[in-house]
Amino acid sequence: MIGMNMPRGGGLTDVELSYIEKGIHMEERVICLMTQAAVECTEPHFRSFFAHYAERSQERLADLNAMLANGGVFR
Amino acid sequence: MMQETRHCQLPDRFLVGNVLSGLKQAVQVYTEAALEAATPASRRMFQQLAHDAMMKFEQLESMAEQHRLFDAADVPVSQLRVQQVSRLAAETASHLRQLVNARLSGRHIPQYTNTATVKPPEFMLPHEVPFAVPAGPFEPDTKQEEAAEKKALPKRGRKAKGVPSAVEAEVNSESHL
Repeated sequence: MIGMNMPRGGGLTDVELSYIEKGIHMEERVICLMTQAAVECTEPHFRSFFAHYAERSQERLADLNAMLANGGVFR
Repeated sequence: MMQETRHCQLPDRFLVGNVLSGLKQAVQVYTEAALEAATPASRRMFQQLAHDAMMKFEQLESMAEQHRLFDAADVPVSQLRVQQVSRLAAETASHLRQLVNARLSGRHIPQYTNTATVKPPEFMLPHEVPFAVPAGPFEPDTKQEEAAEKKALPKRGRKAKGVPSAVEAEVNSESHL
């Protein structure tokens, strides 16, 4: 429920932290699939698309890491 | 020397389908996270991640469509199925109308009026914002403001004479005691 998940001391909540963890797993999964597709696809368009996003994958993980590094304080 | 592992080559449509499925799951997770975020900043971050995953999904889906990887989407929906769903919609609407009327008739429930000045949410698009933004730069009309203040001053004075303030009322009540 919106508003029920408020941080007490200013920072990330348990719920947010578990979503960040889920997000890291999601990114890992998507990147692995994209890398596999970049190697195995027969169509060159798909290969280049997947290779492009697999290489840029660090950006998303960096966003998630930034949330953790800041101690979750975004005000 | 390392021996390369050999495995069965998957067709493109399976590889693309797997990535699409992963992206769809990522969008669901990030959207849920944005809804449950505690602060606006973390909500924005999750919204951005969801948006990025959605964009990738859209790009990949349109590429797959161009290359005709999935032809199931081209199958037209049968008229019978459309009729079934529209019948269901009509039945549900009539059922709900009856239920609401039965439960609420004869009860005095004050009419809902949204009088509170609700701030539009941050994610509202500019064309959805209910108030118009002035075209030019904002310049305060000082003359009109001064005239309005002059008008308001004597009124306030009269009101102060007629109606005692909260402090005065308290003092008066104490003196009575």
